[in-house]
Amino acid sequence: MTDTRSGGGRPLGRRSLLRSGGFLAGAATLTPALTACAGGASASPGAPLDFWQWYAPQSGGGYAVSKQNDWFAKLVKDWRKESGAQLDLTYIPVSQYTEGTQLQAAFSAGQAPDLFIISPGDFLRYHNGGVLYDLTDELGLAADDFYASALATRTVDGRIYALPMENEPQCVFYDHDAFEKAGLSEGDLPTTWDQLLAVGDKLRTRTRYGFILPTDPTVYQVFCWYPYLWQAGGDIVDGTSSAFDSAACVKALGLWRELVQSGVTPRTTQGGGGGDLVANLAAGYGAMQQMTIPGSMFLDEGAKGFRYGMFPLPAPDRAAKPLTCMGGWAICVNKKSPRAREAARFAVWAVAGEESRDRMVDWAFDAKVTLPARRSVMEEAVERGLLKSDKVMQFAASDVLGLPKDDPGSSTTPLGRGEPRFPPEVAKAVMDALQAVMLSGTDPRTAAQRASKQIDSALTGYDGASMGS
Amino acid sequence: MAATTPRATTAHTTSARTRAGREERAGWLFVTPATLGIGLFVLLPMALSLVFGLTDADGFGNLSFTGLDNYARALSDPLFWTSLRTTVLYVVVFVPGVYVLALVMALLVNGKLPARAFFRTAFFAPYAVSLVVVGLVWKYILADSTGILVQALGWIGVDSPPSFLGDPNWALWCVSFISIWFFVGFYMVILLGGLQEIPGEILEAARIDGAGPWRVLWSVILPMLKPITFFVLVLASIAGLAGLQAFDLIYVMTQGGPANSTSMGVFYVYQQAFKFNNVGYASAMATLYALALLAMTGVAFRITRGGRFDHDR
Repeated sequence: MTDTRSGGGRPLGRRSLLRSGGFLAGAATLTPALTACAGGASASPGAPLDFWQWYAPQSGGGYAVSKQNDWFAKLVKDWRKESGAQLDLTYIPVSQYTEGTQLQAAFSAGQAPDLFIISPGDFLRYHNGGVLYDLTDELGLAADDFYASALATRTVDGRIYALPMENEPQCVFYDHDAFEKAGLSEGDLPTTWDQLLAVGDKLRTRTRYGFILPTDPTVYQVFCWYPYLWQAGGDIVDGTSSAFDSAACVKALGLWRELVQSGVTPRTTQGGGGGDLVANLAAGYGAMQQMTIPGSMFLDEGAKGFRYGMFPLPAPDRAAKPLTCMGGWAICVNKKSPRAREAARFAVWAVAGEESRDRMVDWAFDAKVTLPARRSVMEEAVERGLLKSDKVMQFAASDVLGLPKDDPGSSTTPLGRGEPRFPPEVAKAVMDALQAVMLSGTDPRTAAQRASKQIDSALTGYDGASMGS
Repeated sequence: MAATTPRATTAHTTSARTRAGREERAGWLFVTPATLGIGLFVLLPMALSLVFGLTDADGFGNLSFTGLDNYARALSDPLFWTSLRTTVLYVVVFVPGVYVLALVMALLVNGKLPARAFFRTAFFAPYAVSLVVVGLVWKYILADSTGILVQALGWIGVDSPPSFLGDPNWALWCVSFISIWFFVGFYMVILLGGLQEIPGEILEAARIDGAGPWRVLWSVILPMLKPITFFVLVLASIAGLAGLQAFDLIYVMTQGGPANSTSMGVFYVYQQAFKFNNVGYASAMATLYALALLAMTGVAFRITRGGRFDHDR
């Protein structure tokens, strides 16, 4: 027998090696990357302000639009000229931004940027976390220029914490060629839920689905379902308790279940998911796809030559309003940044006030191609004849949002409701209900009841900002 | 017997002590880097996780002490139990699957297989690819309607193939299968090392005694592989239960769906921590998983008496 002792140590035999190996393997695999504890401070004074978003600087990729990239580059150049201060743009891929963790992880690590953009769906996470800077005073009277629906989901107790850049209402994109091959014309575009099912079924082939919806369990999936719930007369919460266990909710869940069960909607999507028009609609995976208005830019840039059209979301019946949900991104300032005031000045200068009107006209009518979040921007565009000459924008303003043709700058959006804000647990409950009815075939009533309990449980003791839109 | 003087004995003892001291110092020097690394990147995070589990930390720097509330919440959270069940199901499929396949492959490439080096490399090759790339490739292979597999099934007359990643009855099977496909080469190499440790004389003797290939496998190879088998099974179980190896696949391919059917424990912990900002709650769940893993490993060691097998006696 060989003595493996060294000095006074214990023998390193096979048993101890296995024991140590087992322990270390266990320890290594168990290590949770949950050590985050910092709050989120940022660059030292004198360094350029850091602005995180998913537009620039970039080239190529599913969501690359050169005009948006250029708009941001010019914004930075103009700011430098205006203030003499430096500002860096940090591009985060959209998959990491909207459904990923990069921004939140940066806050946890104390490396958060001075400025960043978020959608209403994420607003409460950051607001309730106490990292959003109050922009009200910096904004001043310029706040009155924003559409009420755009500002509502960024306001808490009368204070404004994010500046919306645009309104992104949802609609349906369709493939012209697929319609023609199925013997359908513009007159067959569905306006009701039943028609959506029937037309979707006619458009199906062995390799193409009728209507693409997001099926991955993401916040975007929930965002796309809100309009159907509202059209049916339902809502997620009533004050601070669940309103999910309702006939309207069951009806809206039932539609999405039926779409999948009938084979009109696929169980999975391609490429970047339900919001990726290029990888799904243009690639021939589906004949119709729900997406926000700026999707036209992705198609124009990512699928040149693809012939498509757009129509408003169908309603439950002819009598119901084809309500839509308006998303859109808003600029926020990190409250914990040592240069929050300077960042706030930039944010207001960039998207609010008299000075930025032309810039925001460019953003809405040229770069992003979506409706502006400010009335004066819309009025300016009307005056310049931009609304009349741009079919997509005209369609978005009149057909999708129902803005009066003689007063597109009116303060209300008759058919558009801002994307509501909820704590993530509530969104998760809705997501689970959608997943259950669409992919497990769960009865909509059962799913609604289950989600309602989940929502009530999540809201027990909730003391954050108000919810909804 | 040679006679030794007291002086020589003392000198010999002093020299032995000096050598032993040097060896001990060298030993400490060797283990220090690894110890520091493990302490910093494993033990410290584990300790912090334990502490955060007792708070309502939100990842924005806000936290207050909440005692055992997070643990009570986990025990009454249906999604925690769902994710635990999903994890156990995954392990039940993954561990035996990867072991049996790895053993078969190790036996093949240990024998007189033509182009043996090629097969060894080919079997190991998937393990050299990034799991994210693997997830993306398989996502295209398994895609509904346009995926290669669905097309192939269509050619052989299967008109209504399932939605492999969109049907809760299939998705976990697919993730398990891809995990096995990916990791089998790694475990094959470990088992191959064990096979090559078995003395050829023993195998030869068994054959001379009239044992056929199955008898040799069953009565000679498998018993002699016990320590390696134990190591492989424990390693695969720990990795499977912790779910870290499947995380990338799930993140890329299913996001925990459809209908939470692939939402394993580690994915649910990730969601709570990074998507819901419930860092405290996520830490508590991670600690519960850690305890479950330690208990499982402890049981495995107890059953095998710390990895001691019959032929060690």
